Amino acid sequence: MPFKKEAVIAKSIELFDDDDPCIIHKSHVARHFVDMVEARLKAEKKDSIRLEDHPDISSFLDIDDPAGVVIRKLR
Amino acid sequence: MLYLDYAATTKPTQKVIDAMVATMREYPGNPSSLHAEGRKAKKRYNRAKKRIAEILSTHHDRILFTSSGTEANNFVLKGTSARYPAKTILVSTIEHSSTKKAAEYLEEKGASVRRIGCDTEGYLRLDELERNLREHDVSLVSLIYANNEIGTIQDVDRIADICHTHGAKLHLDMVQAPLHEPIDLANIDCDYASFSAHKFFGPRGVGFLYAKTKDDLDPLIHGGRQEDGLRAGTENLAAIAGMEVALEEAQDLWREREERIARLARHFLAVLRETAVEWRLNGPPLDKPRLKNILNIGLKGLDADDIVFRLDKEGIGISEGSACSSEIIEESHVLKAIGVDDEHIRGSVRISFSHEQDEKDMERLAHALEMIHENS
Repeated sequence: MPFKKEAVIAKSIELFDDDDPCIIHKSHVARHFVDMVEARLKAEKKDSIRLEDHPDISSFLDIDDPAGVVIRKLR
Repeated sequence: MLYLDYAATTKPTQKVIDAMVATMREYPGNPSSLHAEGRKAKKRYNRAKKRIAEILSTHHDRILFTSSGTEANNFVLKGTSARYPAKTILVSTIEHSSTKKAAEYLEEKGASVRRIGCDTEGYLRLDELERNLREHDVSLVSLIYANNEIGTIQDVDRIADICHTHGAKLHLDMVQAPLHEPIDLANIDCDYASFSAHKFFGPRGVGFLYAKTKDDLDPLIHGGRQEDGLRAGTENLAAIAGMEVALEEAQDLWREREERIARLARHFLAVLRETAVEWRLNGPPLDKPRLKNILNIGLKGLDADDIVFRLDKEGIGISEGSACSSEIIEESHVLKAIGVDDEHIRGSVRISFSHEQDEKDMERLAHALEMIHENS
């Protein structure tokens, strides 16, 4: 998933107080974002969600217009 | 949290904390000062150094306080290279990053460094060591004694014999060892050995180097006359006092702790065997010379970062064997060196526990891994 650079840094600051994350910290942040999406799919008992219905998720994704964008579970 | 990352660091015991606080309160002077407060601090410093030497059956002149095991390793490699620039340094392919990176740095500066391979359990190939010593003018062999990722303990008697037969000095990175076996430096035939307090329930930011002779060492930091002029900077007396207490506890209690640790290791692997998880133990089996508290497990079909993340969510803290290098995550050079296949390397995690855990903790971990396997 494409993550916004500023969202990655903000989460890195939240988790590590690190405003210049190395690749390991960036990957860990990405894992937190992915976990959030997985948790939402699980909570809604769906295989996919429409991004425009989830502004908290679209806030960290680098997608200009969330309208019509669907996040689908692959496995 | 169920903390299972003791190879990364350990929590100082209450006795260690008490010793450190007392030292900060009672010894505010600079050990280099000649007035009463300074002399008092110097006496405390010397007492700690003498006690550490006594615990390890050596002379206090051979102990050099550092900030860490990493610094101690750097001391030996860089010092030797500066003293013998035309000679070769040998390291193994499964060194801690402090030795690995220091060797790479020296190579970049023009030094000759050669790497000795290991077998599939991480034991040094002694024939390769001997051949390199025969074919090259070697000043130093620097080896990790007890491996921090897979637990392999090297046959130091044979290695020392081979090195000294060929006139090379031997440095052992013994950072992971003091909790698990008696360290008798009078009977370990090495020229240098590195230690770090936070690996044996002492404070972070302090360690020491055992040096049979300091003639080949070169200062990493210049300034005052501390540590025989080899390491300038006012001594961290509280940390040194904490290290003294931690080492004493570690060496007093290692046997009873180790019996428990071995039992827990066997129990964990037995429980894991009963699950549907496909796994392999990276490194030697439990009946070979090894640290029993470091279990590197390769889980087929899983990603290590995912395992670590999911276990963290379950309140279990373990480690993965990767390191960041600019913009890439490097796979463990140790696992590569012992021939672990890529699929298992990707799913390899390091579980490192202590006497503080019990059977229930190990069962909890095994079942959490089973759950991750089922949900993947």
